[in-house]
Amino acid sequence: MRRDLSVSVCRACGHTAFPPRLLCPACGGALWRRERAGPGTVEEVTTIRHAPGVDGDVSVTLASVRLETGPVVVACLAGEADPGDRVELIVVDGAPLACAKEDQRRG
Amino acid sequence: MPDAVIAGAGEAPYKRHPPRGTTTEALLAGAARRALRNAGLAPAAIDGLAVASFSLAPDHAIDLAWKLGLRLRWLMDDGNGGAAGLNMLQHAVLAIEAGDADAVLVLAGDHLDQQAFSRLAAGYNAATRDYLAPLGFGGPNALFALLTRRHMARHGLARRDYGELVIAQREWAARNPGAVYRDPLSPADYLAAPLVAEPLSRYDCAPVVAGADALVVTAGGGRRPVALRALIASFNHDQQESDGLHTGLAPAARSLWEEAGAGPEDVDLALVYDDYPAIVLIQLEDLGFFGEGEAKRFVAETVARRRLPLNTSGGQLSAGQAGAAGGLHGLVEAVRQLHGEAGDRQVEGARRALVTGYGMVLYRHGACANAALLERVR
Repeated sequence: MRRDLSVSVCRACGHTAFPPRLLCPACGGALWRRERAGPGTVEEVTTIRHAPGVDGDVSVTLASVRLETGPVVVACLAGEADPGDRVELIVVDGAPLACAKEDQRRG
Repeated sequence: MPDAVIAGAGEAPYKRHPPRGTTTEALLAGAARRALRNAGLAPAAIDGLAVASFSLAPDHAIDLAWKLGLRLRWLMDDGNGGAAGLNMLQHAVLAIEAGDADAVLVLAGDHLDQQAFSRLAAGYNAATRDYLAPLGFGGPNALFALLTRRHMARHGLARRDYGELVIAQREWAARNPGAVYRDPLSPADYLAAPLVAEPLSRYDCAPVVAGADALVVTAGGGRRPVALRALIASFNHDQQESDGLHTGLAPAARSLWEEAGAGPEDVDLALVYDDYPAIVLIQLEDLGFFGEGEAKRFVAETVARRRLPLNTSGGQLSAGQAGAAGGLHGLVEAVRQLHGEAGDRQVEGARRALVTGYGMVLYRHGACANAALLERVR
């Protein structure tokens, strides 16, 4: 299952949060609307080689992605991207996924 | 108002591969017995108990009180992981000074087998369960790999800089029979180690062990009292919205040193929470051991030249991380050093020790941080 990643936007002050909160950390407001996360910029990338409880090598590449609206999302990285590259964020089977934009992919 | 002091400390030996049948409650009891013996007290003298553990469930502190036969008038469960040790000490001292207890046993420990550790890592909190566990990796290593990359870029650090810290701690561990990893580590060994999550290798991640730690806090007296001169604590300082390269210690550091009547230069040893090497440098910077952006110079001039006794047990990176006991490990080592009972690794004339706690990753980095200055009274 595939859908857009959504973030929470405070109805009172517009502060954007991810993951969702109960009260707005900026103004204390309790009313939120859900919005599409929109694009973001890769800040760091790591590839996990070993995970506890998993026999043998694993290879999952993760990125921290700064959204234009502020929050940082930790996501799996599909395709190749380096810090500074723009990505789109979707959710696949419950997992946030950062998709490198075609025109930035290196050959 | 009585002055509370730490009267004793003890540790149930850390084991990477504990024997079959090892239980969390037995480890906690072992640490408790050693701390009581160290303080020269019988269990009947204890009237307060604080416990932190990820694996004691379904039991709580009250169950442990029952099983240890303790009759109490003060009781505390603490769920703050790497910050639980100092948090429990803070509350125990206040309880004694308020007259609510005369002698408090502070316990932390865990036995997490592979399966239990994976379960804990994937369900650490609701945010982890809902937004991180589906990414298909276990535990906090990947998050601290991302944080370490940020730290390297910000301060111009290379992997070998973190290696200096890891190697220095391993030298201390060689002199600590209680550490699980004691073999010397060369820079080449460090750099050649298998990667866990780039840039972190095996030696940058605290090894999971079974074990427990304990303190006894009393209303003055005792043979060798250790006083708590000052303590600062911070919870959710940045709402997980900063880059994680500072902790909540930074804005509170000045009040710690003012209250203690001392500065970083007066510290004889520092026990700094070390789940990952970058976190050690971040806390030391926050506490003013070096200036903003001077991490590389601090590593070269202080760590590499062994000018500050730092994590003298070997730290969690070499001694092991026994779950919630990680937050008490540094306090127990500090008391041993201030008691002059640290054996081959004794810091000569140790009088003042800095101890920190850090932990509870909410989504990207730890949300809890605390620091204390301990001083030998006589």
